[in-house]
Amino acid sequence: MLLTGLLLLPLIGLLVILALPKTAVTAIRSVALLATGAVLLLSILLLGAFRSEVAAMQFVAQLPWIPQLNVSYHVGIDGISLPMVLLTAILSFLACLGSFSIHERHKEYFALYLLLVIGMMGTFLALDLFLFYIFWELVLVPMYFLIGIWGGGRREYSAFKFFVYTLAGSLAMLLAILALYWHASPRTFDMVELARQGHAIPLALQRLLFLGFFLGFAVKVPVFPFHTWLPDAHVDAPTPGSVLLAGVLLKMGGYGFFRLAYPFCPDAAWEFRWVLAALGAINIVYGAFVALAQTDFKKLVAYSSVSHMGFVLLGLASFTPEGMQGALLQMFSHGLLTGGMFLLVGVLYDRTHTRELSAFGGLGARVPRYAGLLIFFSLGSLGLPGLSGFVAEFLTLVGAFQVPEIRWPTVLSLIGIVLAAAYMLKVIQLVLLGPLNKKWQALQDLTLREWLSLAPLVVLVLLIGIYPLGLLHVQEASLQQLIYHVTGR
Amino acid sequence: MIMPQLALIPAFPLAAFAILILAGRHLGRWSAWLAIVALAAALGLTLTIWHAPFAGQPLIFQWTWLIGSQPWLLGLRVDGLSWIMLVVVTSIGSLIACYSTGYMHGDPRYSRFFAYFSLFCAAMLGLALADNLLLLFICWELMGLCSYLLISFWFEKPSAAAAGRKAFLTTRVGDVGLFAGILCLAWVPHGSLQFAALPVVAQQVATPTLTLISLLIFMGAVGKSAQFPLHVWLPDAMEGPTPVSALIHAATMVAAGVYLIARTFPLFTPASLHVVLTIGLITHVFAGTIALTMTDIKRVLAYSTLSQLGLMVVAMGIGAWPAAMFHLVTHAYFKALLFLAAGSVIHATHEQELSKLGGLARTMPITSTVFLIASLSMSGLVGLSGFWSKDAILLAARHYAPWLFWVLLGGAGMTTAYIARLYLRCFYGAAAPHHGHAPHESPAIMSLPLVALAVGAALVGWIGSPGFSPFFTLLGVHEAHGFDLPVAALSTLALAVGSTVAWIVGFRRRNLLPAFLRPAGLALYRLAAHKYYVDELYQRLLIHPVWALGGLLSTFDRVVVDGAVNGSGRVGAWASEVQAWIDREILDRCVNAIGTTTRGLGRVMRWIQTGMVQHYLLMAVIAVVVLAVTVR
Repeated sequence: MLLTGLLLLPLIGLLVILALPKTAVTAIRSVALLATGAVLLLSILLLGAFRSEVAAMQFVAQLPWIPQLNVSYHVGIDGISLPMVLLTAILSFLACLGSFSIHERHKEYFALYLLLVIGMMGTFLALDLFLFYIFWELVLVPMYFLIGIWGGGRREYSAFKFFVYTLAGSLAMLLAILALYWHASPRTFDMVELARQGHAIPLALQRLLFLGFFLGFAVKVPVFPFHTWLPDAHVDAPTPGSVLLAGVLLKMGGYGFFRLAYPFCPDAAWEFRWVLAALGAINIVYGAFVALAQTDFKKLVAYSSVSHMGFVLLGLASFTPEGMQGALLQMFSHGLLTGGMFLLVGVLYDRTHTRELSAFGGLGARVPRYAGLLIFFSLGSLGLPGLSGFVAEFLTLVGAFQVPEIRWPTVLSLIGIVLAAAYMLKVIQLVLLGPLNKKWQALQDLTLREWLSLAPLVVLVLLIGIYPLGLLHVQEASLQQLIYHVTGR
Repeated sequence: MIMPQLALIPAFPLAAFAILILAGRHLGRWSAWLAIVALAAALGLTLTIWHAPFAGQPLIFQWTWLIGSQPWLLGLRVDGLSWIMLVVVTSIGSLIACYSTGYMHGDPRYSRFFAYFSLFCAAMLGLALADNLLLLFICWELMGLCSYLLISFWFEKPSAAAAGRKAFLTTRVGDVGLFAGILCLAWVPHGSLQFAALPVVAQQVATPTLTLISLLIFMGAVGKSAQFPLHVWLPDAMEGPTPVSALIHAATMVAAGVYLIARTFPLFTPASLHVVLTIGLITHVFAGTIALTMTDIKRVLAYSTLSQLGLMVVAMGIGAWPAAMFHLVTHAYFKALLFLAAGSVIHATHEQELSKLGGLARTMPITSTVFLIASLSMSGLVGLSGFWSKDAILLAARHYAPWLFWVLLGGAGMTTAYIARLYLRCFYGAAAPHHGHAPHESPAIMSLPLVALAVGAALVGWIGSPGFSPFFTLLGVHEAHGFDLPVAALSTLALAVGSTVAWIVGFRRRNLLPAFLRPAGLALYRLAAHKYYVDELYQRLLIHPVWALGGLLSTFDRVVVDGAVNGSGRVGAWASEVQAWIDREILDRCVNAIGTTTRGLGRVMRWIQTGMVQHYLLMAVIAVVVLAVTVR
C-alpha cells in the first residue's frame, strides 16, 4: 500500500493540476510541491519501516491486471531499489523547487513533471516486466516535452534525439522481455519468478537476452559509444529536467542491470563481466578527457556524468560485495552530486543567460555562498574523502581490483581520478577565481529558495561521505543475494 | 588501551572549521581566537596523554566505516611516533595561528582563512592519529584540498589561483600511486591496512610484490613531500599567505610524506629503499643548487625545504627512519620560524625580492635575531637543534657508505651557503631604499610567536641528543647513537666553508671562479636559476599533450561518435524518404493506374449500358452473329 501511495500521490497531484485553471500559477506550483513533498515523506517512512536484514522483496502488493497474459500490477522494494526510490523522491522534490523558475505554460509543465515522477518511481517499484516496460517508456514522453518545450538551444533536435535514441535501445530490451516471456514456463512477466528461473535458460539464449538488455540500458546509463544523446539533452533541457535526467534517468539504466540483466541472465552476465569492466574503464577515462576539453558548463558536467557512471559499470562487473555496494552507492551519490551541480549551473544561467565557462571569472568574491556550494559539489565530484563520491569510488575500485580478470581496466580507471580533479578545478578556476569579470559586478547571490533546494543535497552528500554505513546496511542483504544468485558464492 | 577521547584531538579544530565556515562572517576578529583555542585544546589534550606513549602502551579507538566481504575499520592510535607528530603539529600550528592574527589583519576573508587553517590542522592531526592507511589517505586528501584552498587564498590573483591548482593536481598524481598501493595491500593474501599489522604482512608477501607496493606508497610521499620529480608545486605554493607557507613547509603537508614512509617502513624492501635513497639524494642536491640562485626570499626558503626534505628521504633510504623523523621535527621548528620571520620582513617592507632588501638588522632586531637563530640551527651549528638531527643522519650515512657521507657533507655546506646568503643580503649591508614608510618591527602578536619558535628551533634538538634521548625512546629505538667527534668537526667545517662562500660570493658578489671556468659556471648558474627547466618540460611533455588529447577526443566524440548517430539517423530518414518515393511514385501510381483503368473501362461500359431494351437486343443480335461467324 505504501508503494502504491508513491505512485498515487503524484497521480492525484497531476489530476488536481489538470482541473485547475491555467492562470492559477501559485496553486499549480503548490500542488506539485505538495505532491512531490508527500512522496518524499512517504519514502522516508518507507526507509524507517524497511528491514535491512531481509534480502527479499518487501511491501509487496500484487493485483491481477491482464490475466490472459499473466500480467499483474506487482510492486515491491528491496535493498537495491530502496536507494533509487529515495533518490527519486529527493530529487523530484528539490527539482520541483527548482522548477519555480519556469516562466511559461505552468500547467502543462507541472502536469508533465508529475507524470515523469510517476514513470521514474514506477520503474524502480515494478516487479512485473510488463509494468516495468510501461513505466520505463512512460518516462520518455514527459521528458521529451520538457526538453522540447521548456528547453533552450537546439531543443527540438535534442528532445527528438533523446526520444528516438532511448526508444531504439528500449526496443532491444522489449525483444529480450518478450523472449523471456515466451521461454518461461508457465509464461509470466513476474520478475521474481523469472529471476528464479535465470540459470535454467540455455547460455546461448542468455547471451542474446543479455545483449538485448544491455542495449536498452547502455543507452540510458549511457555507456560509450551510446552516450552522445546525453550532452545534447542535458545542455538543452531546462534545469529541473537536467537534474532528473542525470540524477534519476541515468540510474534507470544502472538499475536495469541490477534488477533485470543480472538476475535473468546470470551466466551470460558472469561471462561478459570483462566487457562491462572494459566499457566502464573507457567511460571513466574517455568521459573525463572529453570533459576536460568542454567550454560549456553544462556540457562539462554532462561528460563528467559519463565518466562517473563508468564506476557503476566497473563495480557491477566485479561481482564482489565491495564492488556492487560501490556501484549502487555511486548511483545514489552521483544523483546527489550531479543534481546539485546542475541546479548550480541553472542558478548561474538564470542570472547571466550564458553557460560559457570563459564568460565568468572571479565570481568567488562576488557571490561567496554560491562559490562555497560550487566548490563543495565539485569536490564531491572529484572524489574528495569525506563526501559521498569518494566512498562509492573507493568501494568500486577496491572491489574491482580484487578480481584478476578485470584488474587492468581498474588500474586504467585510476587515471580518471586525476582527470576528474583537473576538469573540476578548471571549472572552479574559470568561474570563481581570478579577477572579477566586470560584467557580473551586480550578480546576486543565492536566494532562499535556491538555497533550500541545494542544502538538503549538501547534508546528504556529507552524511554519506562520513557515515556510509547506514545506506550500505540497507543495500547489503539484497546485494549479497544477487551475488549469490549469479556466482553461487 | 581504548580511548575514544582521541577523536577529540582532530575534532577540536574540525569543529572550529565548521563554526567558522558557517558563521565566521559574524565572528569577526573572534574567528582567529576560536581557531587558536581549538588548536591549543588539541595541544593540551595531547600533552595530557603523554604517559601512554612513553610507557609504550598505544591508545586505540576504532570503528567500522564500510562493509563488504569484510568490515573496513577506521581507527585512531597514539604511539610514540604519532604523539610526536601531534605535539609538533599542535604546537607549531597554534603559534602560526597566533602570528596570523597579525599577519592577516584587515583581510576581507579573515575568518575564512582561519576556517581553512583549522581544517588543515584537523586533517594533519587525523593523519598523525590514523592507525591504518585508509584513514591516513582520507586525511591526506583533505590536506591536499586545504593546501589548494590556502595557496589560492588570494584567488583574485591569477598566479595564486594557478599555483593552488598546480599543487592539488601534482600531489594528486602521487595520491593515485598511494591509492593503488592501498588497493594492492588490501588484497594481497594476508594483507592489511593496519599499520600495526604491516611487519607481519611484510613477512608473508613475496618480495617483488612488496617492492611494488612500497614504491606505490612512496609515490604518494613523493607528491606530498615534494620530492623530485613531483616537486614542482611547492615553490609555486609561495603564492599563498606566508603563514600558510610556514604551515605547509613545516608542520603539515610536506611532513606528511615523510611520516607516511616512517609509518609504512616495514614494507620497504632493499630494492625500494634504493629508489627512495636515489630520489632523496637527487632532490637534496638539485633543490639546494636552485636555492643558491633564487632571489625571492620565499623561494629560497621553498627550495631549502625541498632540499631538507630530500635529506630526510635520504635518511629513510638508508634505513635510518628515526633519524629522518628527528630531522623532520627539528626542521619543522626552524623552518616555520624562517618562514614567519620572512613573513615579518614582507609584512614590514612589502618586498620579497632580495635585491630590494638589505640592512634590516637595525630596524627589525627581533626578526633579525630569530632569523639568525633559525639559520644557524638549519646550518647545524653545534648545540642547536639542527645540528643534532643532521648529525644523526650524517652518522647513519657514514655507516651506510662513505661516499654518501661526503655528498651529504657537501649538501650541508650548500645549505649553509644559501641560508647565509639569504640572511646577509636581507639583514646586512646598506639599507635598500624603501618607498613609503620606513620598515619597523612587527607587532607583539607576531613577534611573540617568533620568539617562542626560536626557543624551539634552538633547543628542541636536545630531545634527541646523545645521552639524553627521549625522542628515540618514544620511537621505540634503543640503540642511542653516540657523539662522534670527527663527524661533528667535519660538519662544523662544512658550516664554516659554506658561510664563507656565502659571504664572499653571495653577499660581496665576488666571482671566485678562474676566468676559463666562468662561462661554464654561468651556464650552470642559469640552469639552476631556471629550475633546470623542469616546469617547461612538464608543460611541453605532459600538460599540453593531456589537454590536446582532451580536445582530440572531444572532436572525435562530436564528429565520429555523434556523427555516427546522426548519420544513422540521417540514413534512416533518407531510407524512409526513398520508401516514401517508392510509395508515392510506384506503388501509388500502380494503385492509381488500376483505378484509372477501371474508371476508363467503366466509362466505356457506361456508354454501352444505355438502359434501352432495343440497344441490348441489337447487341445480342450482333454478338450472336459474331459468335456464329467465329465459332464454327
